[in-house]
Amino acid sequence: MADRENFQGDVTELIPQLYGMALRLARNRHDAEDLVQDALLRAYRGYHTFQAGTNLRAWLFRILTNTFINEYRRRSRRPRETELDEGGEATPYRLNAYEQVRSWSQDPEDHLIEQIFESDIVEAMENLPVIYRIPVLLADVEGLSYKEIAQTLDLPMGTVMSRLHRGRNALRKALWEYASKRGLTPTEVP
Amino acid sequence: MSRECRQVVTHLYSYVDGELEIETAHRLVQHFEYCPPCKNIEIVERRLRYTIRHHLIEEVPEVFMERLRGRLAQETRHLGFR
Repeated sequence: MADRENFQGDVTELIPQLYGMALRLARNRHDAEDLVQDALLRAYRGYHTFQAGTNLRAWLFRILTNTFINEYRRRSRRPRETELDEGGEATPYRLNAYEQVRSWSQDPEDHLIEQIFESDIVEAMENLPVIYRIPVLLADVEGLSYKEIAQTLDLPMGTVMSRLHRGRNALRKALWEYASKRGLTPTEVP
Repeated sequence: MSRECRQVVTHLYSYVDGELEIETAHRLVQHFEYCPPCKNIEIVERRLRYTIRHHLIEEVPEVFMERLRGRLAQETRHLGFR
């Protein structure tokens, strides 16, 4: 059982991660700040239920994502948000994402990747449907392991892995399209 | 594309995540040694991850941090220490 007296000291170093996550979920600073504050107040009130010594980061991300899904999602939801293609192993879609990475990798020294625009990355990420965006952010931005993501989202590992896979493929596909429009892709596609 | 290159398609993300079981990871490492296109894909995937992360990491505005500290202190007074 965690001591409420230590709450602020325990969570302070995790606030930047919570804020970064909140910003990509809510898609604007105002809602992101409200979301972080709401989540932290909930965490504070429930801190006596947190098992001291277990994963505080996963616990806080869980409160943050639940708060978002229950209360903020409606505000920031876009009409075209749907599930991604559920395709199985080696669907054309999956191979496409791989082919895109492959065509980007013809010459690893040409550093096209580093020229991808920040605004394109933000937009591509924020356009991912929430059920994929959350695990992709937790893995690729916050650096959580599959196990931590499974704990955070209360999902089986297999579901986490398949959502990560689909989400990352969709993100890469979108980035490839933005980069093509900006002329940042190799001219000769294999 | 060889059967082994297809293994890279399937396992690339888990491999870069460091979440692949050791035997499969070892097979991929061996494959990368003699398949430059797949090795390039690994390099590009890592570089893409770095770029995504670099652009999506955010600094918390100091004004917001101040407000948050104030709000938490208020809540502390309200609930009291236990």
